[in-house]
Amino acid sequence: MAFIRILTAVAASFIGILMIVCPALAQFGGAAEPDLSGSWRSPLQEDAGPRTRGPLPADYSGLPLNDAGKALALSTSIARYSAIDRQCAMYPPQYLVLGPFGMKVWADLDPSTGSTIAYHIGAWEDRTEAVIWMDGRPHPSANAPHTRAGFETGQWRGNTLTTHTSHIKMGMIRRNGAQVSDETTLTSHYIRNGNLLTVLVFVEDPVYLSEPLPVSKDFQLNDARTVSGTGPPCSPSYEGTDPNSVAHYLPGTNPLTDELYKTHGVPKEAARGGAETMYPEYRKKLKDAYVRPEKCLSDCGLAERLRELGGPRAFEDH
Amino acid sequence: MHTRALRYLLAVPAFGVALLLGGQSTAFAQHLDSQALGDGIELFRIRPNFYVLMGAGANVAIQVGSDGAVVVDTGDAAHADRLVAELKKLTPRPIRYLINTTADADHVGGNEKVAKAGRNLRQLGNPGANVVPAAIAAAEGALLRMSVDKYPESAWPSESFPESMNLYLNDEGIEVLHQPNAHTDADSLVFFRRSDVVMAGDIIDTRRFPMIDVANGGSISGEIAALNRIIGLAISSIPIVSREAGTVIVPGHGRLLDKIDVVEYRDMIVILRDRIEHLIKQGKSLAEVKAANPALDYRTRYGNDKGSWTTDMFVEAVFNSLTADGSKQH
Repeated sequence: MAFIRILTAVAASFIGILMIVCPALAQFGGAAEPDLSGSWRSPLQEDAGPRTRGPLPADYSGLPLNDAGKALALSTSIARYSAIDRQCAMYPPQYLVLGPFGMKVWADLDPSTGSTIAYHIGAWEDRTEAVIWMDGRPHPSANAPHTRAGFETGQWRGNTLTTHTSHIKMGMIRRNGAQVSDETTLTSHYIRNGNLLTVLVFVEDPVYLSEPLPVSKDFQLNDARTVSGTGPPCSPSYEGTDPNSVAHYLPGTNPLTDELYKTHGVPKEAARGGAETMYPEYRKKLKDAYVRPEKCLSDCGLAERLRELGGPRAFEDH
Repeated sequence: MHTRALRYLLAVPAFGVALLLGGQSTAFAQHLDSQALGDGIELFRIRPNFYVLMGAGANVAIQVGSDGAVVVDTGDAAHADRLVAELKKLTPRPIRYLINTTADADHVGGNEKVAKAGRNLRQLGNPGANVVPAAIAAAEGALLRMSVDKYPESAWPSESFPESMNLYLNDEGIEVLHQPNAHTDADSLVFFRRSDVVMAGDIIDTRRFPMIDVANGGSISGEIAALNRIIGLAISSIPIVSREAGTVIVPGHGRLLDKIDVVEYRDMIVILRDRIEHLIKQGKSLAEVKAANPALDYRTRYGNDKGSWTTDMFVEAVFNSLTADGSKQH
């Protein structure tokens, strides 16, 4: 009997130790949630051109713009963004997937439980720091300010961190005048597969989009070289924009609406965008209207155009 | 410790405790707290001693400190008692000054009751005298309108000014700046220098196109000049943009803003002005201008087809304003 009592006591002690140790182990072992922290480089394996040098003027193909969105895009002159008051305005949070840069992510941990309170996505050129709140806090009221980063909350589901962003400012979805309003919300999926991360963002705007716009971008964990977590300071200066006017095109006067036709042979109708231009079936509709250029007029065509326009030599060999 | 001083010291931390315990409250941008007070009323604490009450008519600003409370706009008459009750929760000190950004009923409706709940600074050296209500300051145009709009005399501005008025209360300078011919001819901006907050009144309404009341002296050129003045007063989060700090602009209605929000709003108004002006130069009539739908890209966000201020009314106000004064100001 004494042996059984000793065995029972040892077993009870072992179970007790396990009960204490296991939750702590769970923070570090396989049962813990994935982590987003690290330096993620941007390999730019898709849409490298539009993400770096920028899109062609007035190319809104593939964007689900409604009539208001098309009108706004065509009225927008890029010169407006050179105005003193706008130079440091930064891009909205969707620029994380629309722009060329990597990202540095770090976590705020609850010191008593080890759980993640928030992830920070560091700032970079033209993008401010974003915070993903993981502690279940509610989004602010409609009267709260809208910021450059917006207000983002998230939750892990398996290897995917799904977030919802509200309270963002009006801003671009393509760097040629296509914009979404301050009523825009984002649903983002940060899908981690080992050292690879795919970020898939659905942009929804009841004002300028007729359907959600999906945008994705891949990142690669880069331990060897740390991605910066802070953006450079911004000091505006005169860039040639008339301070006494707001640059824009009156309806029907945008001179750049045929750029996509000139360089790619794509009809103007397609360049104006709209939900149907997002889908493969749209190619059938374009079949008769599309005329393939006789020679390369794509990126090389852009260089030709820039030469014609006296553009910077830096673009000629791009 | 003196009881009143103790109550004052407890009042501000009590807001934070209420936020923690309330369940409906949120923290935002690391420096803004809000508290839902029920009945659609919300209180933002945007600076340590500066609050904005929303949902009781026009937005109301409340600056508190050792001198008492300074209140910008008093909401509508239906919420006057509620406003007084909320003010008493924020500070045990007397309400000293009311400042009106315009003379509209949703901005001055609480004037009479809120002023009577206060105590005029002129009584500082004479505590035993009969209570004189808090001072009410506004541009001369507001006094003129309120005196003919059948408001009781006790609701009228007791201190009016043609161009500007300065105060120094609760350790900060307060500039009250008349902005002629904007929403009306009775508008003022109120700039709290240390708090770095601008009360814009109805020069900005984030829910809709600005209401340009041509019949009461409003004009598109004055509206644009007013927006430019606000942009001039405000400072963005520069050079360290990531801080998302800077001047807070409180519109007459709608959400809290920063400088770039006002730039966005101003640009929209200038663009719409330019389009309508272009159509006028082509000889288009008002009906033809409306039919051209010059606000197509902004009407979903800011327009209304029904209600007290429709898109057509805004276009008509710009048209009438441009054909009346012919002036153009960026």
